[in-house]
Amino acid sequence: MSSPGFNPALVALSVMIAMFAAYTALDLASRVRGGTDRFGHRWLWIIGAAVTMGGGIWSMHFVGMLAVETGMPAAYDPWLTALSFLIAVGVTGAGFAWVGRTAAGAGAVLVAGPLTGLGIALMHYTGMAAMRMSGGIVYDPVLVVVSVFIAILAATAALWLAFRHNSVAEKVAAAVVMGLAVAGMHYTGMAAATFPAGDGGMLHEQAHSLGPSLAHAAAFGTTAPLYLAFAVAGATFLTLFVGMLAIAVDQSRIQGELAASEARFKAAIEAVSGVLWTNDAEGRMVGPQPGWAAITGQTPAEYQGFGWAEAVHPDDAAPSIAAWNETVASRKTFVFEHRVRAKEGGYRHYAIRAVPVLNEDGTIREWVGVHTDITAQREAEAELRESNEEIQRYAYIVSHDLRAPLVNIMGFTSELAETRVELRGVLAGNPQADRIDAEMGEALDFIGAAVTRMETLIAAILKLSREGRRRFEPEPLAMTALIRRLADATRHQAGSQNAVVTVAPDLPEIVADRLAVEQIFGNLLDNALKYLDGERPGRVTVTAEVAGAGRVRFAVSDNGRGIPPKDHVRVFELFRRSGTQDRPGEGIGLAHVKALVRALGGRIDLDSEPGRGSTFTVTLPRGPSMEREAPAPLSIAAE
Amino acid sequence: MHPVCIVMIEDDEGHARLIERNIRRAGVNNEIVPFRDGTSALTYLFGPDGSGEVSRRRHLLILLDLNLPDMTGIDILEKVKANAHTKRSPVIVLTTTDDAREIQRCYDLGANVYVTKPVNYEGFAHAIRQLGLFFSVMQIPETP
Repeated sequence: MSSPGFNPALVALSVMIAMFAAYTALDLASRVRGGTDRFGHRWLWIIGAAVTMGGGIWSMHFVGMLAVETGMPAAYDPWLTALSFLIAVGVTGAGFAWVGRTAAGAGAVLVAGPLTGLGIALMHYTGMAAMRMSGGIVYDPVLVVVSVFIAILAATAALWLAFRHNSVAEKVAAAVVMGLAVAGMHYTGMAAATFPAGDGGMLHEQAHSLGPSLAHAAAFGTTAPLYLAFAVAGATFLTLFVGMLAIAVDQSRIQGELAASEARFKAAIEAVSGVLWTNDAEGRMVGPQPGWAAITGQTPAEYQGFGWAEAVHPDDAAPSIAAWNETVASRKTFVFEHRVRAKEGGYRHYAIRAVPVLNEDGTIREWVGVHTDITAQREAEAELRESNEEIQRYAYIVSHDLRAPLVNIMGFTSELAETRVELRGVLAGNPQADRIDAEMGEALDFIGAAVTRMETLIAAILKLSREGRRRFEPEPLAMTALIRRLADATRHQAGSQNAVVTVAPDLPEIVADRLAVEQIFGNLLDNALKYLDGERPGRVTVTAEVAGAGRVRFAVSDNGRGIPPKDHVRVFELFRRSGTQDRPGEGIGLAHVKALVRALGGRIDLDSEPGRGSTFTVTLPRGPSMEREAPAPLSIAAE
Repeated sequence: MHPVCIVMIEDDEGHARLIERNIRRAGVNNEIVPFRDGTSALTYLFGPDGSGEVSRRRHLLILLDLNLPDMTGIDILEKVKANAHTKRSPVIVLTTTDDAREIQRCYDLGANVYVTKPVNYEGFAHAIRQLGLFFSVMQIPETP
């Protein structure tokens, strides 16, 4: 029995091979997650890492074996030696693939680590079994178990380090741990082995016939291990060098992509005429914010932390901070509007949108937001609102002031009628009396009819202008029930014309002013029944469909007489009507409907063909105001 | 019984004339003092010093139009109902406006009756004559 000694130079070389291989393999493997864009790309990195690591382990083992000075010649079984290489590559590959899955969580190393550790141990003992020694090998079971544990623990630690951190120092640390795992396992395993003395040397001829190159090399005696060790180490380092080269190429590609994405990002910001800023997870401004500084003129010291709020309009500051804190707490997308003090003085309106950028574990890394200048838009809206209000005030005043002289015209016309009666008595017997009386009567009748007509028109304008001034009170409306009630109210009218009104049972609920909605659909149903075609039984249907974000499109369709295309716009105008004027009406209904639909924030459209029927579509918002959008956090991998 | 004075604040001369004719037709012969703008009516009601002392011991019934050239009738109504000497005088708002909020506001401020002038003359004449009959039975307190 002999106790083996070790060649210190070769031991050092073996440990170095292990660490270098580990560094290369871990770096290759960590690219797996970055290269998920193409399936093949991803597997290429895993295979590369597996070959590097497995090959590294195998060379370490082989050089380590050559470092043993048993004093006895040894030969290697080439098949088992090759198998040990394949085991090393296969098992480490499986480990990398497992931990490199896109969906891999923190627990993945607990599977991949032991797998890789077992692979290292399996490779080692397979390699040992490949040795053909005259005396055979005896193992100390305790040390064998210890060696396997060392491999598992160190491999797990190494994988955990390699996939958790980014910096080169941490990768080096991971590589050192992994290299120690391989070498530690190997030399513990060697300590577990004792080589009992055999019957005098190896089986020269048999070894020679089994493995030409390895056995041949081993047969050169004490000089051969050194030569062989350097050859294996050289080949290994060459492989590793190629691996490093691949890493370098990939690194430059990633950096190129990074630069391109940054340039694209900058261009996007310019394209939307917005100003970009970033906040930390708690909503504080940290680091340089050139965009924010450019619009506000704040110095970095001024906007740091929550200092940015100082530049927000005093009336908007408290609501802004409250809304922002709420968004930060609930991790939603921030959508807001406020005024910000401009560098050149005065305040400008901004629309703000900010999204959280998440770490891989779902925690918020930072917030990225854009302030978009909407001052021009807001000013135009205010102007429009003002001019709308002015028109309404105008209509109201005009209609009142037109009424006052009408009272006089009507009043004094009636007074004249009284006078006419008196005149009749005075002129009695005069030959012109009848003619004068008849002419006066005709004039008075025309004046009376004109005043009555004028009064109707003024009442209509007044009604419309009042509708615009009325404050809406939005409430949830079950539309099927609401429109059915309106249809029931027209039952008499429908029945007398042999018409049927059908209301779809699945009309969605909306939130709007009840009176306004009832007037809209009441008018449309009334019109549909009023202008039916006598040639066929009337059919009026009310349906609805979802129309984009938060809007519902209701359709009131009839098979009535229809409206010619030239009148499609005209029918919505006040006092305008279309077609044969054989139905009572003032031409007010649709103008009123259109004013109401617009006041509710919706729109009305007409699709009609004479002789076929008409469809009025009313698109209304589902809710009274714009709802804040659902959260859509942007996830960026930590790599 | 003290004679009741009808103060008619109405800027439209035609309306004033029609109102007067119909009140007379109802058999009401009380003195009618017409004003065509708010300022002169206020001077009559509250005196040049604006204290309202001049209306002491008067028996007033005020017919008030809301659309006046120099102020709204609501301003006058407010002053009449806020002054110790005039606050018990009945105020009849007689105007073209039939806006619900305006009617409400007038009653809130203490208007006693609100009448909308109908364009239809028969209705108008009838309303005024009814008002005239109403005046003849109405008890008007002496202003303090």
